[in-house]
Amino acid sequence: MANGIYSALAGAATQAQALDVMANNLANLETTGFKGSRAIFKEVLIKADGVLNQTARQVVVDEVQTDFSHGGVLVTNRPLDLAIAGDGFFEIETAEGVRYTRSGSFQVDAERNLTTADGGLVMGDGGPLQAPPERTLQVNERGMLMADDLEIGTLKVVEFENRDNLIQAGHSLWEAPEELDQEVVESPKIISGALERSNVNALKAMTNMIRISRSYEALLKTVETFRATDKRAAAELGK
Amino acid sequence: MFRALSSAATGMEAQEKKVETIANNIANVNTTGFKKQRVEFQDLLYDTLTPAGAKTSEQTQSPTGLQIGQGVRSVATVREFSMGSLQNTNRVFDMAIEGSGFFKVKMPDGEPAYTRAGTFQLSKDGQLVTPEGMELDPSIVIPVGIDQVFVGADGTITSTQAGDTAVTEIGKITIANFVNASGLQAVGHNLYRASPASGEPIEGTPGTQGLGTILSGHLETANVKVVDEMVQLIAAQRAYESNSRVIKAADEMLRSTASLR
Repeated sequence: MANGIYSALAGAATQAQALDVMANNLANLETTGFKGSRAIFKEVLIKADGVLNQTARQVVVDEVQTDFSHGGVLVTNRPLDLAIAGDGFFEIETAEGVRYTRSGSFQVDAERNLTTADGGLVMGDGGPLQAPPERTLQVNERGMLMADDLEIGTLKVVEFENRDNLIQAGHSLWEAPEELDQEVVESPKIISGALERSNVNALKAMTNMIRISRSYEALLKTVETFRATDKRAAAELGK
Repeated sequence: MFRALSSAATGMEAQEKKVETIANNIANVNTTGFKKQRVEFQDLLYDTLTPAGAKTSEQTQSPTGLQIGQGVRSVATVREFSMGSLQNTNRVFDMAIEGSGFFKVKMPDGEPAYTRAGTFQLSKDGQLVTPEGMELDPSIVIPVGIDQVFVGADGTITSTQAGDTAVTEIGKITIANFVNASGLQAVGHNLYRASPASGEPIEGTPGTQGLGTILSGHLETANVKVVDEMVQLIAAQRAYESNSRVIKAADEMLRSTASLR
């Protein structure tokens, strides 16, 4: 039997995975600081008895690449809604360890710590940022947290040499592998009273989705054609 | 593809929450002292099929992992305590707080509750109460037979008798603030209760300790901006639609798989 049927099946399976990636992008169309991903395919050759078989080519999803381009800015006028203008990530201390985020929807908890929506501590240049009592909090454009005119600390914004190596940790956070080189941004540019929107482009995502589902159908048609050919071959040659 | 179905379902659920929140904001556009809410979303945990940095051969490693997301969840409703506009009513017991702080009232069960809606009335005993009859705490009684009442910026209530120029102090309104006002628990009826997330109330005289001042004869309108809400509503509706299209696409793909001959 021809190898093509397996190539077509592998193709359909990768398209199904690509749809999963696209579905996650669209589910996060309105998630603050979300970065969309796309599935990257690669061709593999199947080895038989240690020899590469040039006709048995298949496709697999090689990696899921995150698009770190900036999302638009949504003005909220809430002083503790922060967006990073430019590259970099806020450093957050969670129960699981240090994580990074672009989602700057921060609040102050009962202990006066600056936290994320689910309680992770927002780090400043000298550790977690803590507000003094009875003051109005503001963040200036250089990332300095101010309580009235008192300077509390600069928000720690970290940039990585290779962002592709960051691991998605869910909850709008990324985890950095230990060996990844990082650098603290000296004077980050912060927009206060604004949030970074998801960078998923609904139009592009929808177009991609149509392309995925059509490719999938075409590949299944290919499978059917191979099956029909094999059936005919078996019937005719067997006569 | 089954991941796509459930991711899209989480997306639709999230957008539903967003529409519900917007609907509540718009419904309360004319509610005195109402503070709008916003739903905050986060992506869900990722399914790691290949970790980043996995060895692809002796010398090489995969620069990016193979992680597929599983959708979105709503993590918090953030209440925005920005000031609403002030509406002039010329009624002395209509009070707005300019700045931060809440009026403290006593709920029927004796527990304290906090509000920004300063529409106070007199009860049959002369006490200052909310439209639902909850007493201001500390209680303020306006004596019978007085001519005029004034409420100062610091919450001092004074009165004059008819035909007399002497000014008597009848009471003092204190207001309370919280470290994390967003952590207050809304209990409806324009009221909030303290929660472990909000911290303990810090009570004081208006105008001190960072508290706002009282403006009598005015009410604070809701801080909802209808145009903003409409824009958000359109965004939520479109996002909902996109997610439903994902479900349709996954369904079609599964159907063609099932009908494979």
